[in-house]
Amino acid sequence: MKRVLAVDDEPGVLELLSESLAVKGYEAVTTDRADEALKLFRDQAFDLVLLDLQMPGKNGFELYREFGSVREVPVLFVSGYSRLFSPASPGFSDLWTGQFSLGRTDILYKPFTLASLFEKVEALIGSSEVTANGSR
Amino acid sequence: MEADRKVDLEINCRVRRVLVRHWIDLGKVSIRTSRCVVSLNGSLMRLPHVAPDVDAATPAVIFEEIKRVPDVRRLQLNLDNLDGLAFDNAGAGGATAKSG
Repeated sequence: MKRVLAVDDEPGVLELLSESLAVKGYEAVTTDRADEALKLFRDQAFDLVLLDLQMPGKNGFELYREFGSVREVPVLFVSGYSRLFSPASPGFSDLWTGQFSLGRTDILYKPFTLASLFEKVEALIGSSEVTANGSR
Repeated sequence: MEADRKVDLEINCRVRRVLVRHWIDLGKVSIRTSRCVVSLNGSLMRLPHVAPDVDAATPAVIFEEIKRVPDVRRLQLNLDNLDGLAFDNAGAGGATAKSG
């Protein structure tokens, strides 16, 4: 079973993500705290991280880089603020020309449909599998 | 079937890379690939504060790059900000457009 770590400070969003991913056969581990997210990521294996950009006390890009220092994993940014995904945001340009251009990172804006959530989750986890297997 | 799925997933990943190269906002466009047919739905817009914004010539450049991605058979477009664009549905590598 594929495992997904969902990080968001909105309990309603976490509940929605957890229940909807379970329907599709994913095991979702959720947390509303950035520090706990990093600990979970260090201690457990995940196939994908769903990451809210605006966490209390921690910039999402900063947390993303901390994940990356542990190991590489596909990340789907889930945010209500499209303006955060901009070269004007500190550190974003490097991220865009790095992991985004490798196709291992994607964006999902709130409010989102379950169809778009599943589509992006499957694409990220799938492309990761393809890369890992070195099939092409 | 599993091999087909892997090809579709790799195409999807490469299409995402094309869009990233052009600073397209991935949150506003949906990419689906099935049996090597790529579908783009939503809006083709650049990220905030990226200048210039998508002009009349940019979509055609992007679509040509997508059609050159290995194994892509066809590109289907359902984009709501590309009024007036029209593409031939001309066999392999052709694109169909439905904009509005």
